[in-house]
Amino acid sequence: MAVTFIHTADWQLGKPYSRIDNIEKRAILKNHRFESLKKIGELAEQHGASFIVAAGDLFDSSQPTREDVSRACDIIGGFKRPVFAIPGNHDFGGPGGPYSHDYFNRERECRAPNLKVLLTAEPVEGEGFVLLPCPLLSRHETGDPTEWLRIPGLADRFAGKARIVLAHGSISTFGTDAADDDEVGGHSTPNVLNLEMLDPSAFDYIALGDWHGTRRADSHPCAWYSGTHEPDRFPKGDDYKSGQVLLVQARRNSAPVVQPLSTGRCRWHIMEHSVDDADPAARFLAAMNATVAGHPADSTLVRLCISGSLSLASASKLERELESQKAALAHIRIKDLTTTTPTDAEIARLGDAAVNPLVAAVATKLRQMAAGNGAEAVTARAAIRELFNLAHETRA
Amino acid sequence: MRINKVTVRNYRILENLTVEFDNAITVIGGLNETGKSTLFEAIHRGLVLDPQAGGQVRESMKTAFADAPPEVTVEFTTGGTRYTAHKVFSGQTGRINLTAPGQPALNGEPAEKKLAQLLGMEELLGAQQKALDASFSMLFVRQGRSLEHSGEIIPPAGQLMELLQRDGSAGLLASEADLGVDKVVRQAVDGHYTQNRNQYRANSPAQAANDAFATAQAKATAAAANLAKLDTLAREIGEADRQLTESRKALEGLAANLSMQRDNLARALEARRNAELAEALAKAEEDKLANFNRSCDDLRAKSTELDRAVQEQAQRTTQLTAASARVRDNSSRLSDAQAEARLAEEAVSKARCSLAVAEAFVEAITAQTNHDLLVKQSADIRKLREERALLAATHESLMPLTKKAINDIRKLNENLVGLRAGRDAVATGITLNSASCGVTLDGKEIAVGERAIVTKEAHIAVGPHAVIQISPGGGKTLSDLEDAIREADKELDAKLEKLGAPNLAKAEELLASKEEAKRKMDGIDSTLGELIEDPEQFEEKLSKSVVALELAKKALEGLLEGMETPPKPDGADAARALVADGKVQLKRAETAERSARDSCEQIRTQSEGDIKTESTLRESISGHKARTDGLEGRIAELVRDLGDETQRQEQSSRLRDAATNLRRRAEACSQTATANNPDDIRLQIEALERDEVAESRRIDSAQKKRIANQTLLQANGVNDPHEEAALAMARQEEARLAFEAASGKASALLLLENLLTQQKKLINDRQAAPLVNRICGYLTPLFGPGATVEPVWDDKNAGFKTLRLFRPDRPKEGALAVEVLSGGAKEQVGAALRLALAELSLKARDEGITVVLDDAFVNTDSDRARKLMPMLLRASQKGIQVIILSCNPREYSGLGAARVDMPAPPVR
Repeated sequence: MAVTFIHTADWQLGKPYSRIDNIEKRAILKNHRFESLKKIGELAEQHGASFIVAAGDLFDSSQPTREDVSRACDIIGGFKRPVFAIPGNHDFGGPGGPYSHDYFNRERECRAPNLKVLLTAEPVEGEGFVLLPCPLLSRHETGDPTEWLRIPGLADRFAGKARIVLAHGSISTFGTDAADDDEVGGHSTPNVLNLEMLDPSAFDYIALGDWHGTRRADSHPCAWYSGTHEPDRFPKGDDYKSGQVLLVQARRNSAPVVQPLSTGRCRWHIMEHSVDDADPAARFLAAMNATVAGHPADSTLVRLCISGSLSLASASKLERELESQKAALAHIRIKDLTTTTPTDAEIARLGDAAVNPLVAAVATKLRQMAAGNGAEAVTARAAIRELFNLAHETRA
Repeated sequence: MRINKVTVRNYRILENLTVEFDNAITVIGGLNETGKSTLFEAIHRGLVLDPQAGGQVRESMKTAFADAPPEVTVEFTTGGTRYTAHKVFSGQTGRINLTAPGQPALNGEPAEKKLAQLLGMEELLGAQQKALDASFSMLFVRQGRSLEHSGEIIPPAGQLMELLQRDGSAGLLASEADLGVDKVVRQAVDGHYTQNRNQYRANSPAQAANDAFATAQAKATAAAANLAKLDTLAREIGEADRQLTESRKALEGLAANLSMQRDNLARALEARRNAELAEALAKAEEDKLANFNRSCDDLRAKSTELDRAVQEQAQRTTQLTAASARVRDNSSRLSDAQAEARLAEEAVSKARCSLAVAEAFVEAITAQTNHDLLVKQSADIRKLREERALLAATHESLMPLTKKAINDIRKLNENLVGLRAGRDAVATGITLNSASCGVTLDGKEIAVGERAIVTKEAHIAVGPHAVIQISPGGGKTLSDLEDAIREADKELDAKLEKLGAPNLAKAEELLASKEEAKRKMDGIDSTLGELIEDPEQFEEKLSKSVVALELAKKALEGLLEGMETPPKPDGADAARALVADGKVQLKRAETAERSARDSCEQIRTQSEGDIKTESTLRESISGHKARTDGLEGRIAELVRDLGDETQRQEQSSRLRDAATNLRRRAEACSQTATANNPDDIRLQIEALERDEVAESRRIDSAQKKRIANQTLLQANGVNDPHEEAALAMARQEEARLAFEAASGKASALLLLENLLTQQKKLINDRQAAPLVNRICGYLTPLFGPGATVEPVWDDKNAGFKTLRLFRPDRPKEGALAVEVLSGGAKEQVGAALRLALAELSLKARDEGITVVLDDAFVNTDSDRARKLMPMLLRASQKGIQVIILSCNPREYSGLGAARVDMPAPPVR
């Protein structure tokens, strides 16, 4: 008998997006994680999933706010099917974690009675399946949470039922991936799961959490990371996919059938753009539009590396365009490698020696200084821009 | 423009004055209060003052001489045309009239405009009338005020500069736009840096970014430290786990090893017990053999001993026989020796007797000699005593005859002689009645009341207050003197009689014999004292010598009695020789006697030793007999127990074999025990047990460490420390970038500001060069070649506000600010500035210009004044019309200029 269910993890509800300066945009991004959650319920309904398993890190913090708890329970309660969750390292199951709070338990009972948080490592049987949870009770588990699954004969008790493991942590074949990342999120504390120690034939599906991209774990033939339902970082490579859940069909002694379904609202783009003096602002805008591809700006995040050489006027225009993008997008992080070199015409306009002898003399001097490569040249180039802007303002 | 002629009417002191000016230099001389400065002011006002000006200005112009308003007519040439400007300053009805040949006359406003235009200042009309007035007055130098005292160039100079710049004559310093940029740049830099530009202003973007970076850095460091701590905790748990595994494994190994070693120990102990048992058995058998052997040895020893004892007994018997023979021999020898000793004894006795006789002789002779001496002494004493008794009688009889008595007689005699002399001569007596001090007569002091006779020439010393009475004849009559002589004779005779001497010479002779007797008596006493210290003892000694002599004689008689041939020594010496010989004989006899006695004693001692030996041998022989008997008994017993020699050898062999067998067994057991030394095994077990304890402790410690670290590691905070660390790192990088951006901007602005300052100075200096060069041209005659000025620029309006003078004759002082210059130098620099400005202006207009100097050099000394001439000539050569008003016009005679003297003021 096959069971169909949805595997999800790392909701990280309440994630504060600390690196984003603008408070309102942080709130919007935080909101997206809740809105995307609703999509999971819809997909479950749409694909006839019997239940949903959430493999840890439902909440971003061990002490989520009451608002976040209530809102999460409210949405989960609307899923109309059981949701089985284990605590992860962010929302660990022991004392101090969110599931030990009375408020959570009251809200769960009241708003999401379908939510079962599995806090003990013991089998939970259902029709055609048995869940084998490996909860994290503290943030740092020094032992392997899946160790208990190595007890000989454990799985034999559930003849014919699909054996589904729930676990949260990294696997030895790949490490954590957050330390050098641009955005915080999606990394694992060293709760290592030694899946290769498990009998490959004893389990039919291993639902993993902690890695925020969707991927199959190669240390076990039927282990998968679903990734987070709402992307929260810039992709690390071309094969990095997040903002998905997995629709799983599992059966005893059969390979699972796994299908990713999209749930995320935000798009995280890495963009590299090179400019020259030929209408750089317009060309940058075109490139940006091509990247964003019509996706709403309030759920688009861009990491931009921009380079090239610009005239003073072009640099000013590009600057204005970037300011516009900064205001519109949910977030843009700019690595500005452009250099500004005033044209002769600009220099001439900046100071006609006959009309403005002082500014002209200063501009000429700065231009000489800017020709080099050292720190002085960098300062001189910046000074030219400043002079240009101030002269412009003064004239205005 | 050049001023040709001026007419002033009803202007203060000037009633009606017309002065004509040279095109080059005109010197107007005049005493004080002749109206030079009034003329100066009138020319200025005739050119620039609104004729309808009222108030104080107009009041100050009025004259007391007439009721008519002040009028000034200035004739001047500009652009080749000669103009006449006539102004009447009558307040609201004041008027201007400007005429020129071939041109329509102008009045009122058109005339004013035209005049201003001709002066090149038309744009300053109207609202800027005052500025116009002031600007033009730049060319009018009032007494000593070429530069303000503060060192600032008076404001019109700046305005004139502007005018010149506008004409393009001095070039352009900075545009309004330039100044605008300069201003905003400075404002912007002010926003970033403190006033002295060496640090960021508080709350400036760069400072805020820097603070934020420092905070972010601290947080990142803290977060990284926290992570490192957690990593350490986790690593330590891993290490503890490894330790646990290793220790547990080690413990298992130790337990197995221990079990094995304990078994080994049990076996080793068993082997040791066996070895000990075997050793005991072997030892017992060996003891048995040893005992048997000892008994056999004992038997052999006893037999040997018996043999030896028998031999010894035989020896002793022989010795006894010899000893008995010696005893007998000794007895015989002793008898002989004793007889010899007796003979020696007799010889001694004889010798002693002879010696005693000799000594008795000596004694008797000595006693006799002694006695004889004492007897002789006694006779001597008696004789001396008799002699002394005679002397004593003599002495006694002369007792009254003493030295005093002789002296008295002598005095009496002298007195008598004196008396007789006084009687014989004319004698005068003096008597001292009283005196506070002495009176001497021939050096002899006279007592009060004494009477002295001055018989002949005499020397009398009389002290003060002495009262002496002088009476002829010593105050006595001749009969008195005769009486006195008789009296004195009588007294003398009485005394001689008493002494038993007929006269003084006999008396003195008797006294000498008395003293001789006394001396002899003393000599006898002394001799007697020497002879007999104590008379009683002498008597006793004498009587004892009698007794001793008797005794000695008796003793000698006693000794001699019975002697066949008694010695008869001849005198004491012979007797003493006899004694000496007697002593020699006696000593010899005593030596022979001692030798004989020693010989006896020796034989006696030897005999006693031999007797003792004999006795000892007898006892020994008797004792030995008992011992040989005992030995014989014991040997018999042993033979009975041990059997005969054959039996003994058999038994010994048996016992030896048994012991050898048992010893071999014991050695084998011992080897086994040694190979498995339980002590070694025990030590090994102890070491293993210690290892076990150490390993258990390690397990305990690792477990504790694990639990402790796990507790710390699982102390969960609200947020994931890894995420916090990553966030902190990211924030730190952001803050760093933000700081770089902010500091970059600040640096750029600062660079701009510096460049603006630097370039402005360069431009200013360049633009000021024409003016500076001209000023230098005028200063050279005064301060020498190399004299120059440096303009001090005012940043606010981009003009210069003052000058600094560099004097080649004082190079060390550098550029001197105007305010430190002397009054003279100050006015000279000011004049040079004005002439240079006029020259520049002249160049712009390409026509003449007038500079009026009204006692401008009041502080200048005569030497410097002389040097002023080339300066003024230079101005003139450059086309400047110079008008000089001076109360001392002769100073300017070197100029060869036109000269006008002010008329004396009218007396009213």
